[in-house]
Amino acid sequence: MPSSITPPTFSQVVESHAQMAMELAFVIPDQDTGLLPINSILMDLEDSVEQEAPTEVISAVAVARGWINQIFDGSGKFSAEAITNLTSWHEWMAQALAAWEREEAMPVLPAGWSAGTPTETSASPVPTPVSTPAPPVPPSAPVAADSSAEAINEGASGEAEMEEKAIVLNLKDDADLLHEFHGESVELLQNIEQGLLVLEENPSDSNTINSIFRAFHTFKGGAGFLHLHALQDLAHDLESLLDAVRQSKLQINSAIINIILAGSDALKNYTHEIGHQINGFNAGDPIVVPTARIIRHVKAILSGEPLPDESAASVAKPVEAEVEVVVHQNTECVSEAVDSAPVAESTLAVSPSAETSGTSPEKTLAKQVPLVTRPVEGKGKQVAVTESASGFVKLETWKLDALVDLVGELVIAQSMVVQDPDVQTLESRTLARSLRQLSRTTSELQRNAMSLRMVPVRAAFQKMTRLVRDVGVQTGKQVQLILEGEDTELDRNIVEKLGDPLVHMIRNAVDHGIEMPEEREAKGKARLGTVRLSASHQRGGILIRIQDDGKGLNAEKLLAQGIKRGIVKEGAELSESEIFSLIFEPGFSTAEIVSDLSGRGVGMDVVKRNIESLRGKVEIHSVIGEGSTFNILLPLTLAIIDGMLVGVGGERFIIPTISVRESFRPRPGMVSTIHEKGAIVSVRGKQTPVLPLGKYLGIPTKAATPEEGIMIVVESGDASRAILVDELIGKQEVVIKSLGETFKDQNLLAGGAVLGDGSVGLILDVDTLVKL
Amino acid sequence: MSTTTLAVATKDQPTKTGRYLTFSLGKESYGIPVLNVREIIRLCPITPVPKMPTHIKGVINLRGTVIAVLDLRAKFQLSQADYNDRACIIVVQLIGANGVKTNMGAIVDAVEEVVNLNEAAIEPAPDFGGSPNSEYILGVTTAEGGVKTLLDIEKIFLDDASITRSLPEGAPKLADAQSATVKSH
Repeated sequence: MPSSITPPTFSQVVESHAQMAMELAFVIPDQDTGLLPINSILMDLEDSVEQEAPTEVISAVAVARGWINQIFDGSGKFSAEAITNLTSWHEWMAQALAAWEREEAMPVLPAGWSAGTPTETSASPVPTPVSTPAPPVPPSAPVAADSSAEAINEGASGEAEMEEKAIVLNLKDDADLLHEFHGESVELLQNIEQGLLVLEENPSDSNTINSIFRAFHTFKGGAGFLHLHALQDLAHDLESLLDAVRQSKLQINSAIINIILAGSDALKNYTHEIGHQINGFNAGDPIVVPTARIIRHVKAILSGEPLPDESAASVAKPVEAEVEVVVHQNTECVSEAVDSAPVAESTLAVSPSAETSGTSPEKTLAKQVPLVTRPVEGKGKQVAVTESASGFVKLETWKLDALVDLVGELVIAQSMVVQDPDVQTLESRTLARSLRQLSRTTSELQRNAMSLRMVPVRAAFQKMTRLVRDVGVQTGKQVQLILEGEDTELDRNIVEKLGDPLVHMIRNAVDHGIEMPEEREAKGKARLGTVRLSASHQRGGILIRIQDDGKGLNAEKLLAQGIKRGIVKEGAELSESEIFSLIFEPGFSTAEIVSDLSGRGVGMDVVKRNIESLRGKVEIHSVIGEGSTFNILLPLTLAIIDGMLVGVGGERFIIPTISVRESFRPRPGMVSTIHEKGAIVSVRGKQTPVLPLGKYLGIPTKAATPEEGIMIVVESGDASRAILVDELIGKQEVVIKSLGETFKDQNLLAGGAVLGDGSVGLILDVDTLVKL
Repeated sequence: MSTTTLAVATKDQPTKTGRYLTFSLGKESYGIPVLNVREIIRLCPITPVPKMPTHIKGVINLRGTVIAVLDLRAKFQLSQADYNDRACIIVVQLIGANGVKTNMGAIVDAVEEVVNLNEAAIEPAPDFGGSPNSEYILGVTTAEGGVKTLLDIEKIFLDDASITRSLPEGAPKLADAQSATVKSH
């Protein structure tokens, strides 16, 4: 396992090492320049190597820390000797890191590096490097031994019992593994579900059956390794069921599909809960998801038809749980089998060990069950391995985010160089050419870096297939979901947050939009209703469209409901789109029957809020009897916005361009005041309240009258304001940065951005401004 | 391993013995534990954040991350003065309640030196009769010449890391801000 943990540590260490080089370059004998930064870097290093690092590196960091401590304790200034030491330390570290990366033998620590400079007799006894840091390594060995022993015990005892089992996560020791398991499981379960839906259409698709089987198997392996027995058992039984199908002992029917769906739902619930706990919610609580019924059901199906008269339980278990069988046979083999499990997903090395361990149980199993999964399983693993190697790299998101951030910085640094007054006075053709090339390369790099965060909406869309199926079954409607443009790419953060709103809207479309088959027939429509979910590029963003051919929104009914609830005033004249947007009001529902699925009036307001939090917009079009269309317009990414840079007094602010409707310099007479306080300006015939930004923020403005300033009309939802600023400086793309803890509870600013001159510009939160 | 144990011991021990970075504010001298200090940078243009208490000076760009900067003079209600070219920003790393590391900056008139103080050289904070600032004081030392006030920098900053809302105009008095923070917890 260490190989999966080292990369972040390693890159952190390399980074700190590089910083160290910079700091060392500025160190001067008999001065304290660089002492604090070096100390801080060493502290970082200590943190990084704590988790996982070669013992030599750990000792070397400790040694250097000892030196710095001595400097602090002593003169507080670098001695020439200390500098020489640190420099040679740095060189040694470079070698060590290279060796670490290549996984070669570490260079030996120089002899003099024990208690720092021999001249100083320090109170801090820095130990001899080689002997002390030994502890970090051995623990892994005993742990592994423990866990395998445990696995055997558990494996043997797990055979009999059948009641609801709770799992408790070992969040402390297994954190990384759990994280990996969680990520992988979500994907596997998603694949399983997709596969089952395919199977429903085409029950004899052996490729799909195999891939579902493999997915369950991989899941089981992961769960087993982490001692999540409840998950392991359920996955195991489902796998057995599929195996029976695979060997044509069972015929796929809806009962089987439903039970497998139910099973994968249970696993999903577990996984979901694990995800929660990893993120620190209810950490350590036992997780119980009812599975006994599903397991019983599976066993009933298994024993009911094809298998010999032995009870399903005893057959289903040994089918391929090599551990349990071998326990009685051959202890040596057990450890091998157990060892192979942990590595299951990671390397090709698995297959040989799986085969060797597989051979002996196979013979014994052959007596009980004629056709065992084992031989095929080895192959299954290999297939999984080759699939995962097909040109994709799994990365932790923070690495991507860090890269995107750094590239953003690079772009800014680049423009600082180009705009530098000194550089601009130079009349050099070669320099100008080089600068142009630099600009081109940086902007290309930025585009590439940005594209790394983009993922296709496919996964989010495909989840809806299952939803439509389920809602259709529950409501007795016949509905098909057509997906279009699943390859359209969006920032992964947006895709993640898009899930919930999509579920709500699709569910509504089926539940409220699509009519019952008889009703549709009577109206002359096809019995089969259609919901179309599509994604496409539009207006510089992404358009997600949900379209149904159902009954459409009834504007009159909506208006009546709105008036009844006091949201709309009696006799008010509303445009059609204003009426439709009533459904986004909290507590608003026109469904006559509140169903289990939707119609409780919670939902659409949440949908709208979610989409707005992604800086998106929703539009509704609907024709009675023909259906409704919901258009969701989203920005491509959350990290960068197109901003309008405005000046108020000496300060600069950024207004997100997506919220800006127009900007103009007011002519005399356009602005009128009410009660001598509030001002309004007439924008295209609509009276819009004016927000003098400088006055509101307490910044002295340059423009004495509105006519000297610029009005920027912003809108959010239905509200709009004309923001009065001194000047419009320009339009630019900015990388949004969080302002940090200090400002987290204010809602006036949406964040900050580093501007071309290196200073920070504040991004105004339009949602707040329009409510002022 | 004993090296690590040593480092941990220095971090965890409740003792005040340790190294302090000293700096000046006006004519007074202060010290903060070196362990909290990440770096010291030159005073750079600070973007003021509107509707914030006066001692929150604004935000700066620290190599690509945006960090908040506090004015310690304003925080301690000292007399205001212009900063000269010796003024710097001390960047301090804090671990917030949620375990997230945050960097914040504090403007000081000038950084003096790093001194090594042991417990015996540190006297408890004198009682000024409920002065609002005494809760931030770890102690006072006269070692190394002159009186230096040792500050609990984490307390000072965490106070501001959790300002509950942007304060209404006219309200940003220090005492009010503090009581508001206390109430909100």
